Amino acid sequence: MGRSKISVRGLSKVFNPLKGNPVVALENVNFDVEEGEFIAIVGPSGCGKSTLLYMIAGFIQPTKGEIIVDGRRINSPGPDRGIVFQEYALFPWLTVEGNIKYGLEEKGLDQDEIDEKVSKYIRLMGLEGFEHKYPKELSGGMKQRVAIARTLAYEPEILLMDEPFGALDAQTRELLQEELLRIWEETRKTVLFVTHSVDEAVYLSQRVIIMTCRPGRVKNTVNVRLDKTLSREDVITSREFVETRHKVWVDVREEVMKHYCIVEG
Amino acid sequence: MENEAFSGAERAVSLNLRETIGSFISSAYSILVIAIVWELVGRSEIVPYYFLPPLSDVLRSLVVHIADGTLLYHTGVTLFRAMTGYVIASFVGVSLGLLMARFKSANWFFEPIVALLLPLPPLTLVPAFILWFGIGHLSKIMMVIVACVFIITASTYHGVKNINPYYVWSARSMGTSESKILRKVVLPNALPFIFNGLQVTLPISLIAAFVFEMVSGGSGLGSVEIYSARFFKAPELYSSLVLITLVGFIFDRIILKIRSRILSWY
Repeated sequence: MGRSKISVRGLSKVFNPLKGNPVVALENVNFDVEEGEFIAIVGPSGCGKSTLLYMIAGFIQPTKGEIIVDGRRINSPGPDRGIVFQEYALFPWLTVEGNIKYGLEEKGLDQDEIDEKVSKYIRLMGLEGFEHKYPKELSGGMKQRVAIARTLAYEPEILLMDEPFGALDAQTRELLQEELLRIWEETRKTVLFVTHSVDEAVYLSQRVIIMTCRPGRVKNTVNVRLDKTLSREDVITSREFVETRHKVWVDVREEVMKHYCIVEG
Repeated sequence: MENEAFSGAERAVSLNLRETIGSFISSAYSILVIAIVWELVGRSEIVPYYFLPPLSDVLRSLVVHIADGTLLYHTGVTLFRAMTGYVIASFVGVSLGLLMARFKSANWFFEPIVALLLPLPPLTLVPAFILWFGIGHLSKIMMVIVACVFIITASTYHGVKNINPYYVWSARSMGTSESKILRKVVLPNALPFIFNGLQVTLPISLIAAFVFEMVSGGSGLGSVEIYSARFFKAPELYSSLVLITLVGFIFDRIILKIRSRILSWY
């Protein structure tokens, strides 16, 4: 075992709104991620899981604690950590091709390399024929394919995904989950995948981190041992899947109920 | 066989032409109706000639004065004033809007000024502008600038402020430096808003120049109209009106064309 790819230590985040009381979004969060690991983070809405991801991405600064990536402390965004948002993050003024090119041009690659990578990731995400379309002309599922292709194209070592399939219909969602797994098997990138779907978390990841209701802390970590080479049907009907899913679900449900008690009571 | 294909192609061409003419006539239908009613009312002598001469007389006067160069000269003068002011207002307006949106201190200083001057009817400044800038080109150009600049400033400001933070985050995570964010993300995002401002102010620039010319006289289409009215030269009066309407229409079409070319993604 080498050192961790990502190490989150004593991380806390307090938001101070202009009006009202400070909000403690995260409190003393600790976990490590190994290189090539696929981690899912689940928790009730408002538990700060997106905030956690944005801090690892370097968009927002922690109030306390630190995030170490490859032995270096993070304090700004960088192309070593690619992010895929839930929606609306493609540049609407660029075509599909233009969006995928963006990160490559920022990286300063030469034109041949850019063209080669663009066509590679257009093929990988099944976007042939859509190269010159603008995001407004695409369905939600196609937009997320482009978003994933855009992030994969500049080849970050870490993939941060913030409910990337949350706004999609069930069929598209399942299709993209399978494609994401296929890509992960091929590239073995380190993936941090935030979702509120227990099924999605267990189906995709090797380890599920369950967060508590606000203030967000790590409640539990559940290891997932599934044979990812099996078909989706075989996986989700297997005993391991059902048991793991139940284990995670019980934890999440407890936190969701607590959340309701706070909100309703 | 060859013959058949040829006639087929010919038919397609003539069909195409007929369609184009047809669509033009159908889209200009209401205009045609107004033109015919105008002509009939003018000929019927229900209204005095100097109130509303028949359209054909107006068009004849239009052709005569275009041919002798006077109308072209005055149209040129009005266009020169409106366009010079418009271009300056565009540059100043966009720059000021960007500045205010990006720098708190600029916003602190200019925001009250813009807030105060934006709702001010610019033509109330005509007497003062005649005193300050005379009755030549300068006063009209200044009026066009004042009438347009704050609208463009406001639309630019809102375009910049309206940015989706995920766009900025995406760009930063892909390695775009803070200094390049403006050009690569903020500006393209603000472009539709900026265009709204440019589109709204284009006819305003013509109005400002035209009305100022009506008040101050001298040259330009506005002065032609006011002199014609003063001497009951009805056909001349209406021909300058027809001309300014046409100019406004053509400009509107041009900016729409540019917009759909540049903002096809929007």
